[in-house]
Amino acid sequence: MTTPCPECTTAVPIPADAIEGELLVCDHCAVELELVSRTPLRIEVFEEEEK
Amino acid sequence: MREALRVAVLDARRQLAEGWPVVVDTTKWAWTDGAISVSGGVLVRAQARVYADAIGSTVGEAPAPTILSDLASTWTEHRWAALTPGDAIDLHRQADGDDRQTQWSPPAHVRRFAVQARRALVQIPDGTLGWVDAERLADAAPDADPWGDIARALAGTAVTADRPTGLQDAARRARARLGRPYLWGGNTEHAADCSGLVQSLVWQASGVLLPKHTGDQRRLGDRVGAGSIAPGDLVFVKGRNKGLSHVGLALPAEETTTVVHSCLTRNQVMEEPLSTFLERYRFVGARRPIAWRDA
Repeated sequence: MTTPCPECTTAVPIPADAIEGELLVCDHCAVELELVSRTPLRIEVFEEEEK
Repeated sequence: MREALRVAVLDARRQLAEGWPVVVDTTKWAWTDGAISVSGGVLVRAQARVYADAIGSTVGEAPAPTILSDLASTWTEHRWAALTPGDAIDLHRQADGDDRQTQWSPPAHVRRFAVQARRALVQIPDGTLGWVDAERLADAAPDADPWGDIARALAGTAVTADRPTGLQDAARRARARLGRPYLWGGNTEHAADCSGLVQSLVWQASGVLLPKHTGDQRRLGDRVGAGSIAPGDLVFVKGRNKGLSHVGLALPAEETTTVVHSCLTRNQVMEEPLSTFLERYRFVGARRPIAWRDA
């Protein structure tokens, strides 16, 4: 299962055991992505909260 | 200009893909409208986003960022310096501030880029750039690259630790630190923050160096699903309320896998069962940067 990277549109593979909230990395543009929802599948660019 | 800046930021981000910070001359990025307030710091991911955001809204005539050095480069404009004996040095984000971002302990060689007042801008072996007390540096002229033999964690693979009992050693070292205080930016045996504790334990027990910051550690090694975490893995979480990034090191224990971490809210290094750790925090990922021989 893949979904387009919101940053560069490259297909990002979603591991079968990935859970909502998990962070993934786009292999193409290296941006960190948060798996927001599995159904429907939705990922967003992860914004680190400043400490 | 806008496209050139966008490409420059993307290039920098690609260089960050392996999880190691590159040194960027951010002193050229001095917007005065409040959008950017960095100067001479590491281009960490948060800063890269700041640049990207600024490029979208405020371009002006700012020059493209100049990448001065990365850990694999043979860049020659820096000067090597040796840390003088003594306690760990503090690396600050600013030349005139007390905002410690990490520490490093002698003996070690560092790359010195500039001196301003009583502080020097250096890069330490884990790639972090920061300002240190210039008096703690001595000129050095090593015959070979002092960092050439350092084993570093990589993205997409687990680096084999050359020590046969590294994981057991990590557990022993971790348990010797239980109860020691949290220190923002710390990574010594006396006090550490969460990523500093993990970096220090892995470095001492495996001989493999991790980057200092949680966001950089989060990109290294192989991905591990929440149900497959094993001793030696790095476990990344966020707070249930504030949402701050946090990291711990999974350890072998008698009946279960545990996690050791330096906890800000409890101000100490603590160990707890993996299941408890994942209940108290929100799981965001796990990585296996080290192939421990005794795992």
